Amino acid sequence: MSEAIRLVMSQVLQVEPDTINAESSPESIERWDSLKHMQLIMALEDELGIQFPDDAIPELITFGAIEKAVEELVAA
Amino acid sequence: MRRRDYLPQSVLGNLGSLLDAIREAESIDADWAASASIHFLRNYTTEPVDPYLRFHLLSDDVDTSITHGGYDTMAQELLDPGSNLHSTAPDIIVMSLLVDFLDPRSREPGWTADDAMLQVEELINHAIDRTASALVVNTFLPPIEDLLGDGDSATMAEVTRLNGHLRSLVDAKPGRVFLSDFADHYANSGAVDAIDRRFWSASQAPFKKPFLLEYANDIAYVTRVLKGRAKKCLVLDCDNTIWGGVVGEDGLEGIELDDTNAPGLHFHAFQQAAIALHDKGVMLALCSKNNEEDVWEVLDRHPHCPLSKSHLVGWRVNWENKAANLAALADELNIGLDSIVFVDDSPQERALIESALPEVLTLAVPDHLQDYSDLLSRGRLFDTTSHSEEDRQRTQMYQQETKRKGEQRRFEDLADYLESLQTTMRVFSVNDDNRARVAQLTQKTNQFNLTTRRYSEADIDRFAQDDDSAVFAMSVEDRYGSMGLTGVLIAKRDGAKAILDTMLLSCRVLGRQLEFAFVDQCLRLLEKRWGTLSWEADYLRTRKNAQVADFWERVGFSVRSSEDSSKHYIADERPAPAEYGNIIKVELE
Repeated sequence: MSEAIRLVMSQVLQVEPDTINAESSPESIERWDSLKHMQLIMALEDELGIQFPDDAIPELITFGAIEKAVEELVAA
Repeated sequence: MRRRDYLPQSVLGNLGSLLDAIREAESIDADWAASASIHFLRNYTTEPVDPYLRFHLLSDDVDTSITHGGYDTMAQELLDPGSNLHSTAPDIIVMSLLVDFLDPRSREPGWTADDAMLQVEELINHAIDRTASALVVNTFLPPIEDLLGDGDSATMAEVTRLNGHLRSLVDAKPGRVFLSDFADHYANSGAVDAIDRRFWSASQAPFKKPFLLEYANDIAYVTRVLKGRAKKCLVLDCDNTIWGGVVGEDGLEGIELDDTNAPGLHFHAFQQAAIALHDKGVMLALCSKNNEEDVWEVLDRHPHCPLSKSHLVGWRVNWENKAANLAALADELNIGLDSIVFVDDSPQERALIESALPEVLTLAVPDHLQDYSDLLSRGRLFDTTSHSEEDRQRTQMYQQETKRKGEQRRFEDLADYLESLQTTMRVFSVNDDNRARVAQLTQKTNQFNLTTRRYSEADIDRFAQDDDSAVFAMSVEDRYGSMGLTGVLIAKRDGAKAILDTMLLSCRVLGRQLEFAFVDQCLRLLEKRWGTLSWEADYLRTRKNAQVADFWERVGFSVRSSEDSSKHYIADERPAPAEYGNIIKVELE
């Protein structure tokens, strides 16, 4: 699962997958602006076949937070 | 690899893969067939459509730059000559509007659309008056909150009235203003798959992928038409493509084409879809491995066959190689291979065409035949903006052309043949009746085009009004009928010098000395009108206009300077091309 998230982040944000760590965020990744954030969420939903709830989306701004949210959604 | 190979339909399923594929395709270093700039004037978040728009245009080999203006600054951008919009001078302006922001009162009860109607009309008029761009506008949806909750029927009625007004504005400017029907896209996507409540409330970005794909399709279509990249000809295989079964084996009674029973009804519906394209000016042709008489027997005598020989501009029904047949058809019809869409059920035949003639767009008969009748409308590939009389008569004219070529074989001497055609050429200045056609020719003509400058109707109008510009057109008639307006020359005055800005001819009138006669007559008219003492002209090389690389030399110009992709010419006296008086009769306005 983490690999899939890494892949999508690398596709949308144009960073190397192995440079992504739990703290990767808009602070450390230059391209991660609000438009890219929307694309990132849409791309993750396409790839993983999930749908993030309304209120979660603004919080998903580190790799770690995304990983946790995806795990919860998949487990549910 | 070609760009199209990086962009199979499957990448649309996944936004991450799509973004990756777009980057790959954009990085290929090859000649672009065309380039286009698109600017969004918008009052909501339109950026999510970009990847889908890029997908379509990259597949067409169009190098695209897309920009989005500020939120709700449509009027300012149009009115301020120093705005980004005016400094980019885009080919296409997409005016992308939601009624929610155009008139915030639309969310309140008792709202009337009058003010919104006025605003839209002003915006469209500003865009027409102050830019040379083509314009794409959208019909209005009810306020998004209404779509997500319970709509108010009075509001709905006002939106309908607003859209009625919008349509009348669009209809008044065919070829300049195009419509993307949001109401249609909403219905086609299905309510649940059209709007994303989450991104609507967080980012004012309401639309989901199915909706965005349809919108991107419309914008890509307008781009194709403007850039001469829209498909012009549909070529069909026969057995298991326009009917079910193999006529040579199953016989006239055995093939499936009955419109009341599957699978026949699917083939029947497909034929009707092809005929609908024919009626909008798309050329139809056959390329199949059959005995020719078997095919005509179906078209002439099958009780349920909608297609007839009169729909066709050409055919290659024989047992030879289909790639060679398709190439010969393109040649006969004077169109590029990249204007052709070919449909065949056989994977072997498709693979042959894809490898031998990659410019041709090859489509398969779908596995699920119920999808078949939609095959041709999906993606809006074909140029169906028939806003000129010439378009509607195209099939007829190509049929006349075929007759003319038949004649050619009977004449030993070309001059005798040309004389026998009894050609009359009329040369006249552009006017209200033919401005649309003149602009269309500058947009569509690729091969016999010296500078390939694309002009909108508004540009042509501006030149026509300007004393220092001249726009001449040519129409041609011969013993077989009229070939319509088929040549354009645009000149600019610089003191005693005349600069030939544009010279183009439709390919169907080539090889008859008309190009020389037309230039000669235009130069004489300019000399009389402006007292011209010297002349300048250019050849700007593209991938498609090699055939005119030495045209100006042949007219009588001398090369002043020459680079890889262009040549600049001068003449101190009016160049006089070879005599044509015995084969072309000239009529001046």
